[in-house]
Amino acid sequence: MRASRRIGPLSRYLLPLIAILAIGCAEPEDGRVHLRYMAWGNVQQLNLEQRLVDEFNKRNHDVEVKLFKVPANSYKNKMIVMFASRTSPDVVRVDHYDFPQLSERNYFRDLEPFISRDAEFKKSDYFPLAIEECLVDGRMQGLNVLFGGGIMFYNKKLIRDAGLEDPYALWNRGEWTYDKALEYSVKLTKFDSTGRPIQFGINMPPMPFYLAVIQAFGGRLLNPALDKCLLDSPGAIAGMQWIADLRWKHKCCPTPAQGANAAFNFETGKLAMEFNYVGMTARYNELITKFDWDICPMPNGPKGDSFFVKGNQLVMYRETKHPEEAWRFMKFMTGPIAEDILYIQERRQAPTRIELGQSEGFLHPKKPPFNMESVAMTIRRGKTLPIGPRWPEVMATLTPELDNLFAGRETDASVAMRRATAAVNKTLREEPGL
Amino acid sequence: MIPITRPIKRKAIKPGVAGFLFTTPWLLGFLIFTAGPMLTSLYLSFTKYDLSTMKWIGTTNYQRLFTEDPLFWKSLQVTIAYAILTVPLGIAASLALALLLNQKVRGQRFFRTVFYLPSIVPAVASSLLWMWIFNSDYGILNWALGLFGWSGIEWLADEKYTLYAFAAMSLWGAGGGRMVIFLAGLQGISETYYEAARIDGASPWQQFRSVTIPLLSPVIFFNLILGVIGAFQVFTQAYIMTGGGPNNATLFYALNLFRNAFEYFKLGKASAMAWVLFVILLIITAIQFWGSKRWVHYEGEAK
Repeated sequence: MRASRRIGPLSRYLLPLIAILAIGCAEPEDGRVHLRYMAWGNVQQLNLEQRLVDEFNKRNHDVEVKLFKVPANSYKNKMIVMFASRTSPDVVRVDHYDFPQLSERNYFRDLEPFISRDAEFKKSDYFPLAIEECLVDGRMQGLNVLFGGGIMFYNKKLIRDAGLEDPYALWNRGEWTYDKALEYSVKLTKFDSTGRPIQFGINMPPMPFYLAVIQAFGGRLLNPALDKCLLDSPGAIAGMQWIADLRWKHKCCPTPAQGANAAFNFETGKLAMEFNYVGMTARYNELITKFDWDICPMPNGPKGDSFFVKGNQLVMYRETKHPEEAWRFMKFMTGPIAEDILYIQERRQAPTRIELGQSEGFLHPKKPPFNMESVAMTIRRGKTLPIGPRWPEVMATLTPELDNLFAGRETDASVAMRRATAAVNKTLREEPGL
Repeated sequence: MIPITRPIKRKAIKPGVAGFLFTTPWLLGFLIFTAGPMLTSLYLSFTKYDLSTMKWIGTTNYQRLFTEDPLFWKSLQVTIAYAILTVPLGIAASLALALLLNQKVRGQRFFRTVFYLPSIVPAVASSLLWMWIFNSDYGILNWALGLFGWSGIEWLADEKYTLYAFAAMSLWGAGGGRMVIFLAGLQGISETYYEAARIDGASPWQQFRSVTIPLLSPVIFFNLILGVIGAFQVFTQAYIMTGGGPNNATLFYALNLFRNAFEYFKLGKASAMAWVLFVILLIITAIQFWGSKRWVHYEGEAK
């Protein structure tokens, strides 16, 4: 009696509160397995993710997946904190830029045991490059989604009005080169009577497109072991000089200020050609109504093509309590139903499955872009990017040096690239994590 | 037989214990969420910790910061330059604004609200707004400067100007908060001091210099301390607007620390940076307190 009186306030207020918290934190007991899936994206992408999750839940009555949305700008921080604090969702979409860095910390579950005992899953169903991106020491640690490569969008009306031939036709004849792209860019740039630009020929190739440009000139960012910068090679310098000259010598590409606030985005109709991913298709089909447009591969350079690939990886959190169900969900997200929705119906990127990548629906769509063979070539023949565990450090070191070149403070690419190479090599020589 | 019931003796709680009990929630919060992480980060600063492995390395992180890391010095230099630029300017501007808003004019409350509004705009939203204003081709700032014959200044792309751009932005964002504190301070100054000064023939400038400034000095001191600490913690604007560029011209200390921790996973180094910042702020604040004896006057204080 006395004891109960003593814990009176405790039992009256604190215990119910603890009980409510405990109930709130526990999995609901409805006989189903509850999974969390973390992803980011714009509104359209997240709606699509939700649609895929709903499709999975509809087909799997014993599992319920909940989409955990995180804004893009805080995604990496959230992901790291959740992995490190062992509160991560069961399945996480990871940008390939972060994949090697995080996999090095053992946050992901090795998928090989699941693959080896799953008769439905065959690596041979997927494009080899889509598999290659997910390998860590030869073992699969993720499944590729939103996979694709760099291509060029072009405004057919502006090109026709300027009396120029369709770039895709040039590509098919093997004449779509960086020299030709420069010639087009200059011819397609227009200024008003006061000298203000009203139309630009091309956009500045962003990261990682500039790596594809230097690839075509025979250069590379890093050696295959990813421990030495190669930007001071003649090929890399020539590629970077071509890019810088677009803006500062030929003035056929907007400066950062001119291009700010989306003034010369492709959808405005004031930009003739654009380096971008085919994933922009959905947006362009929604926004562009006043001109016709299409895509072609990035130009060929003196030392080869500019094909490259990059995707995101779906990974399974190492300590998930429901690995089998998580695997089932991951398999669904890269399976024929989800890929059909993502890449044939909604055209977010390119399929990872060979059958879909060669399908009529993907190669011959009813809406632009029509030259989908450009994408198919990219995912067949592209190169993976030199992204390793120290990618963020490499980029943070490289960016100020590239800024100098791309912002016109340094006009000679050889000077900028020598400095960049020295800086990146210094970073790479430092002990990781120190 | 009626049972004898003894009255329950309630033990009186000593006032000290009661006080302690009342502060327990705060104390627990402080120990768990502030002191705990601080001590952990102090320990981490002597380790090499990359989220997967942790190794005790003594003072290596500190040694490397001071002797081998040019970006540490660069970020410190950028931050100190920013603090030197913005703290006096910010205090002067918000004091001037408070003096204006302390005048008895029509619409006084409206103006006070309008000038306070920027300080409640989220930093991310104001950063995006200022990116428009600073746009060298289409921004309103360059348009206005163009009327006087100046044009084409790349506020956020040219390293000569970026720090000035950030300073201008800080006046807009932080000015409102400081202004309210100054306003409260101004209203706490009794009118009798001004009356006495006027009777003695003091001009408005003399009244300001000899009455307002001395009586407002504790408030100025308060704003100075907070302003310096705030200037050393600038992060969001640089993260959103320039990412530390161009050429690391806006690589503020907090941004550099964040990158080391959450982009490069150098948590030991980042912890060491945090402690260096703590010590720097501690020294600056101590110097300010020491110097304040010469110029800060508290009412009723015997000197």
